This record gives sequence, structure tokens and C-alpha cells, in this order.
Amino acid sequence: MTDSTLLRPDELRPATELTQKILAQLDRALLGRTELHRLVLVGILARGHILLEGLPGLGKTALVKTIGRILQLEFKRVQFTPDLMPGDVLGSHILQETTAGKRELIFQPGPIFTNILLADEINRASPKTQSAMLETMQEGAVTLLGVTRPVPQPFFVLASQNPIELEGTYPLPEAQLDRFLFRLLVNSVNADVLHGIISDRRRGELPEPDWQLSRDQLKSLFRLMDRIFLATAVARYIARLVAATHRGANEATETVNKYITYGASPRAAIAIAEAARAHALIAGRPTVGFEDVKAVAPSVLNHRLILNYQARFDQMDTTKLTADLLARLDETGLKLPADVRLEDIKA
Amino acid sequence: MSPVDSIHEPALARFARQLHTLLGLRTALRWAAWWLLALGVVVLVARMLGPFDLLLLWIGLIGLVPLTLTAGFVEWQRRPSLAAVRAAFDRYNHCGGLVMAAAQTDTSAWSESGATAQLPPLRWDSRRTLGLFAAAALFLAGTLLIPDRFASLSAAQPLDIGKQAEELRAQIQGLEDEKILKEEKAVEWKQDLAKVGKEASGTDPAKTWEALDHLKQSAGDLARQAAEEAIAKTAQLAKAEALGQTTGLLPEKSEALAGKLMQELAALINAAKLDEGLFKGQIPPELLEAAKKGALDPAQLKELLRQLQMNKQQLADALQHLNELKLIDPAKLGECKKAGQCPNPEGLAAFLAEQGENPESLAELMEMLGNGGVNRGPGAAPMTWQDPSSEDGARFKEQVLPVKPNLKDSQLSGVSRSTPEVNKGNSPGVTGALSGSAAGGGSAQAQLLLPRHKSAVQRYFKRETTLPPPTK
Repeated sequence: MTDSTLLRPDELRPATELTQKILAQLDRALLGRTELHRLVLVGILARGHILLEGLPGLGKTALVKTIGRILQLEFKRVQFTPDLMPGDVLGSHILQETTAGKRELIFQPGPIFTNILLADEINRASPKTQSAMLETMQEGAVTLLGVTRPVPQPFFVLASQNPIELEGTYPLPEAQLDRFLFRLLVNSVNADVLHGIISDRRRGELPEPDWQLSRDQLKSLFRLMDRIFLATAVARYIARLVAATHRGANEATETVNKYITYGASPRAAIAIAEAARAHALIAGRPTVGFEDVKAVAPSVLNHRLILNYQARFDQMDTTKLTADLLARLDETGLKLPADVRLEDIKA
Repeated sequence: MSPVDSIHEPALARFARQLHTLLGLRTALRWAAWWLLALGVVVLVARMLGPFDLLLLWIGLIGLVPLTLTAGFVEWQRRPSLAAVRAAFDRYNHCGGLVMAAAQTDTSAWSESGATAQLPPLRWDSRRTLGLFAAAALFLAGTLLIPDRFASLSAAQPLDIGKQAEELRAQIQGLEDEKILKEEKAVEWKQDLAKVGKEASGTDPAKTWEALDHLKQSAGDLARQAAEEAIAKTAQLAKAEALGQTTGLLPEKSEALAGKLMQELAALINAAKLDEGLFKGQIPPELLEAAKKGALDPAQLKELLRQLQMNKQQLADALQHLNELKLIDPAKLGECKKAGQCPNPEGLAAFLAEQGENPESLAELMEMLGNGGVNRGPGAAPMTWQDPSSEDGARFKEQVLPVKPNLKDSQLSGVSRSTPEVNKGNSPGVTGALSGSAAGGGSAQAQLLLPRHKSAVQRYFKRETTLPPPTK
């Protein structure tokens, strides 16, 4: 049961300090990824799965490893390949002889029974294997031969995929994409960051974190997350935002009507709300504001919008569409006439 | 109320008021603009269809008040929700949802946050609305300022005869005041004048002008008739006055001559017919009766002289009034003054005393006295140069020439683009709407036939006649 009273400053401040320490450790380990680190932490606090998309060598695996170390969570990695079978991920039953001389099927857990699972190059596995993780990602359990086994909590899937060399890959089905809270784009870093990397890191080895989060502290963060207040107006804005991604909706923009075939699901609205709460917690605020929603919405929506061919012709992608939608949709719902507007937001 | 509420509630209320006021003003202006446009169209149509009543404009302008109130009410009904206002306030001040949350939960622990919150500035791009309003107002003003000749497209274009009608009404009233025109007749003429004014139409002005001319001529005829009568009476009164004064100046031993003069005075009083006609005298009946019988004592004679002078003055005043009303020619007024001049009574008295008691006709003497002429001794011989011409076979019709118009009272009816033509002939100047009309009447306008009327004239002569064939 969640406490409905607003967090007091003395309650929130230690939690915010913890999140800042986590971010500091991440920034220390991986240089020049401040915003990415913040969003990854948001995803973890929101207990969501994250799809990291970027070219090889940008530090996706290193990021996941570092998180595991900082949070002191069990971490396993699976390199997805076309011949990877569901049993290789979920685990399988092995026929073993018991001490009584009988033989019985013993369940051998797969790598998914961990706290953080790094699914590397997830799009290289067959859809059968990819779909094997659906139940676990949503329900936090694995069902084999009629027996459901819960995975350790917290459980996160941090998957990575390579946007190039798509031959022989299996793009993730929409149902599985929808289960990822965020799709985060890992971009290249600039020369200054590269200079820092090669100056401070021998052979690219990551520095060991000098501070780690205990499990109790993580649990307390999760508890406080539940008490971050989501005002009705903000919830309404999230609902209007997700509804506006559907073609023909009342507040759908011109670009939405032109380029989107299918909009975001209700799960997207839930994801935005949870992620916005986490973002507010990191920012040290007891309530969710519009800026929190705007900060997380692009990462939530960018893999949930199905575009049409016209979008490809016009080189329109979900990132641009989401940015356009966020810019045009009035957060407040004042519905002012076109010639009346509020002055720009105070700096 | 939570502390955050206590900080932000007044600002929120102020912001909501500003927002509602701005939206109400905007809607009221937009509605007023459309209202003025519609009013302009109504005014324009009304002016096109006939005479425009300013009451319509006032009703339309007064209608702006309930319109504005309705706009305010409508805008109040659809005003943004307080939650939206809170959201706008929160967003502008980067309160991170605290102001929004304050409506749902206790945020007192965070009262320090957002303490410096400011009202979000509202910006209204009013150019379009104000432009529309200004255009509507200008349109309405334009519909009012368009001259009638451009605005009126109806079949019954109004004809402004206000000035002429007013002048004629004053003339009728003047005739009624002077007892020249009977009251019932005056009422009838006024009704006729009002009817003419009501039915005045620019499409057929001749009909209106003809009716006005008829009334004007009737009034003028009556005034001239009265003037002639007044002049005649004035002349008779002047003679009577002279005789009366002469009687008083005779020597004491001339009783017989005085009696003869008294008889002559009685004859003049009778001829003057003071108690008849348009101008009835105001001499007391017993004094008038005594004067007609020639039995006046000196006191009565003196009173009679006073009354005669007073009546003469009244006649002169009446003619002066008629002249001011432009009903008679100023020459008539001069004529009346001349007629009212009293001959020299002292000279007449001396002459009569010298002539003794047998003057042939005192009246003829008085005509001659002071008028010059050939002195042939007593009695005058008429001067005849040839035989008088016979009027047999010649018809004369009396025609009263119109009063010369006073140009300062003229009215501009229109400006011609063409060069005015100078009448080089010695033909007399003609004025009035009836000028150029046929002697037999029927038309008050002289139409100039132009080449474009050729087909109409041809059609007229080619029509099938219904007259019987000429008999051989």
C-alpha cells in the first residue's frame, strides 16, 4: 500500500542524493554520457526494460556492467545469435539421476534468472527466442512445462541492438518492443570525450566504482518512487499526449495524421507516468511536472510509433515526430484561441 | 488551505481574472465587429429601399450593450478550468507540479518552493480583431455617409421639398392669421400640403412640383386679391380722411358747405364698404352708421378720423405681412402706401371756401388736388388722343406675373457639367416649375426631345388610333 501524503523535503533529499551518487559513478565510468545515464537510471527506478540502440563500441555493454556493479545486482549477459534457442535463455529441464537411482527432469535455470540481463544484439536471435522473454519481461516469471518460476527482483532486461548490418537479423516484433520502457539511442561522443577515454583508460578498462548502492537503499528508492505525486493535470497531459499519437485523434498534429499508421499503446502512457515520476525523484521534486513528462516522453514513444511509407519518403522518423508533437501540444489544456497565448516560459 | 495555496491562490485568482477578462474582451470585440457589419448592411438596405429612420441606427447601437454582456457571459461559461489555469501557472514558474498538486494534496512542506512565483504574461495578437472592428465601424459610417442619390435604388426615391413646403405652410398660416383665408380652408390646404410632402417622389418630381405650384398660386391669388382690396379700401379711407379733415378746417360760416362735405364723406364711407370683403373694418357700428348718414358731430368726426387712420394702418400692416411672406409684390406695398397718402386738406379747405357752395364734385376735386395736370379752371377735361379701341373680338386673359425670386433664398438643385446657354433673344425670363408647360395644362415639365427619344416618338405616331375615320 502506498502512502498518499506528499514526500517531505527531509524524506526526498536523501533519496535524491543517492540518485546523484549513482549518476556520478556512471559519469565517472563512462565519459560524456550524462543524459544517457540519467535516462537509464530513470528506467531502472521505473522498473522498466531498456533497449539500447547504437553502433558497436559505444559502451552499451560497459554501461550495463557498470550499473550492475553500482547497484550490486546480479548481472548476466547473453549474446543473441540466430541459433540461440529459448532454452538457452530461459533454462531447460535436464534428465538427471537421483540419489535413489531414479531419473527425473531437473530444471536448470537459464541466464534470465538474474537481476540484470544484458541481451546483447537482441535482434540477431530468432523471433522464437526473442518471444521467449515476453512473459518474463512483463510478469517477472518463467513458465516451463506448466511450472511458473519467478525471476529475482528487481529484474531488468537491458538489450542492445545494432542499427546497421541488418542482414540476417530479426527486427523485434511490436509486442516485444512495447515491453521496453525506453529505447535509448547511444550516439557517438565528441573528440574531447574520446581524448579523455584514451588518456584515462588503459585498454578501455572501466574504473571500479568507489561507491555502491545497497539493496536496502535501492528498495527505499523504489518505495519513495511510489510516493512521487502525479497531479491530475499532468496525468491528463500524458493521456492527451499518447492519444494524440493516433491518426485522426482530436489533438493529433498534421505530421501525426500524415506519417503515423499506429500510435502508442496504453502501456506507453503508463511508462511515461512511471518514468516521469523517476525523473522527478532524480530532480529532487515530490511531484511530477510537465518538464519531467517532456524529458522522458521521446524515449518512451520513439519505438512505439509505427510509421507509414510516406514517412520513409520524407525521411521522417519517430524522434522528429515525437519532438513535433511535444512542441505543438499544449501541456496545460487551456485551449486558448490562436491569437491569445501565454508568454514564453520564464527562464 | 495549505500554505502553498495561501501563497499562490491570490495570484492564481488574479491570473484567472486576467484570462477571463481578456477572453471576454476579445469575444465581445469580435461579436461587436460582426454586429456592426450586420448593422451596416441593414442600414444600407434600408437606405436603398426608402427613407432611413435614425431610430434603426440607435436601436442597433444600443444593441451593442446586451451583445457585450452576452459575450462576457458566454466566455464566462466556457472559461478554462481552474486546473488548467493552475497548470499554466505551474508551467510558467517551473514549479514542477507543486501548484497543481496543491489542489489535491497538502504541499505545506514545500512552501518555500515557488515563493517567488509570478503571473504568466498573457499576449493577445489583437490586430486582426481590432482591424475587423475598425473595418466594421468604418463600413457602418460609410453606409450612413453615402449620399442618397447613390444609396437609394428604390422605385420611390425621396424628393426633398421641405424648404418649399415650410415656406408655403408659413404663407397659408399668414393668410389665416390675417383672416384672409378661412380656418377650414386653411386646414384643408395644410392637409393637401402634408399629403404632397408625403407623396413627394424623385422619380416623378413634376407631379410634386405641380401640386406645390397649385397651392402656391392659390395662396398668391388670394393674397393679391386681398392686396387689391386693401389698396382700394386704403384709397377710399384716405379720401374719407381728407374730407373729414377738410370739414374740420372749413370756416365757421360754411355750414352748408360742411353739410355737403359730410354728404360726400358719407358717400365715400359707403363706397369703401368697410364692413365687407376680405378686410373688414373695425369702426364701431354706431359711429359707422352715423358716418353713412352724414350726421356726425365734431366729436364723432374726430373719432371717425382716428378710426380711419387706425384701419388704414391695419391694412398697411396686413400688406406688409403678406409682402414678408412673399405673397405679394413689393410694388403693391408701395402702391398701398401711395394710396394711403392723404391729400392736402388745408388746400382743399381753402379752395372750397374760395369756390363757395357749388363745387360740382368734391370727389373729383380731391382726385385732382395735388396730382398736377393741366389747369383748365374749375372742372377737368378728359384728354383723349384718339377714339378708344374696341375690345370686340379680342380675348384678354389676365395673367399675374410671378413674384421676382430672391436669389439669396435659392436652393442648389444640381450642377450641370455643360456650359450654360445664354438666351440671346429678348424673350422674357420664365421661372417656376410650370414654365414651359402647355397653355392647356396637363404637363408641368417642358421636355426637351433628344435623339435618343426618337424611337419613342416614332412609336407614339405609329400607334393604332381609336379615333373614328374622318367623314367626308
